[in-house]
Amino acid sequence: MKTAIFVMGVILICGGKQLSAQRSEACFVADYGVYQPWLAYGGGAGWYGGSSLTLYIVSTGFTAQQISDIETALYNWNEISGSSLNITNSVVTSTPTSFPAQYILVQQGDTSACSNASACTAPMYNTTTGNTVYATTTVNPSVGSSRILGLMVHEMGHTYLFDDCPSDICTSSLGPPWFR
Amino acid sequence: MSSFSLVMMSAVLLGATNVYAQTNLAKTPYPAANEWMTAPVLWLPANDPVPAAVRAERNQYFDAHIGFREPLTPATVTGAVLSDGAYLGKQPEIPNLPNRTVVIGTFTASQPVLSNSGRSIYTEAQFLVTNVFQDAAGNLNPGGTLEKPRRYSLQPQKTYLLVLSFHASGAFYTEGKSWDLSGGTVQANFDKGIQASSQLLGLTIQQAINQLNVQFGQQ
Repeated sequence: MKTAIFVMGVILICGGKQLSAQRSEACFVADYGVYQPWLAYGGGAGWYGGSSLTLYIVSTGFTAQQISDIETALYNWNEISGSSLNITNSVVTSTPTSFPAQYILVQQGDTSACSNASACTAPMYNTTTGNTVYATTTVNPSVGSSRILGLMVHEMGHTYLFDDCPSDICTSSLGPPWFR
Repeated sequence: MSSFSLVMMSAVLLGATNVYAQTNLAKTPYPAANEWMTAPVLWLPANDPVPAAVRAERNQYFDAHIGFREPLTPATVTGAVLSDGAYLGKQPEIPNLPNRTVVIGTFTASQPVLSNSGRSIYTEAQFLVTNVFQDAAGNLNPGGTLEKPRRYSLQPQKTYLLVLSFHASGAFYTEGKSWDLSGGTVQANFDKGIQASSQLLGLTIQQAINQLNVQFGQQ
């Protein structure tokens, strides 16, 4: 919960702008004189504001608290960013075989493609509009039964097409938990 | 000396007609260490030196981990990235990985591969190994385009201390962590914020070799 509050504080520093809807109205990273789009994948605008999104959580391996952490993380992002997404949470026992137009899929699995991290996210986005289309977050089973709210706040930020912020930059301007 | 193939993810950023995405890729305050991936390289499946069964296993892995929902065509063009990965707590300097392999090697060649399904593109990198500290497979033997500018990436013709994970299915390695040795001392090729303390950073190459030989019981 402390981590979630910190993230809220970071975004408020940026003026509480609608980060997902307006790619030009994003945080100004003063140390480097650039707008936060440089932190965004391909200058992406994140989820299209006001649209519908389904959050699928494959329950295998997750505790009830962890499932709640995942849902809370996305809820917080939606509230703070002003993306006004119409979110449907769907806890499933296996990976769905068909998906709606926009979705996030969170499941436990092999994270060797991202150096065996605790979690990583692969967002897919429309290169014309810059909006996210869908995203998959994989959580390493090594997290065990630990609380993962902070971790999932970080990963949900990636679905909004925010990149990792290197620690030597973020400690001077944005701070954790943006970067790790 | 022996060589091995390290296979790296490379989700493709398509949309050559979309100037916006590519323009913003350039606006980082640090140089993109993976910019070398933007150089076009021809992929000729008919000339694939990897046995068909091994290629199928590698394709299956990358389709599952970074693959698009459908084959990559101009009609289905989408941008994609894979985040660097986040960690719960600080990480040990030498990470614990499945089938861990620890070597010093020089990146000599690379080849991007389009999976047979057309859903993923990944890069196979060849490394010439000079030191082996741990070899999970016991048989010390991997492209793409820029999906996002990365501050840290393996780069051709550079020498690294590599901590790898060996995948028996497909007989390939994925990178867990790397240190750049090209300047003569051990330098982080990762965000130093992810680990608590270091025994390696700043050592000369020989000092690092001596330390790792002791750590992995090679002496």
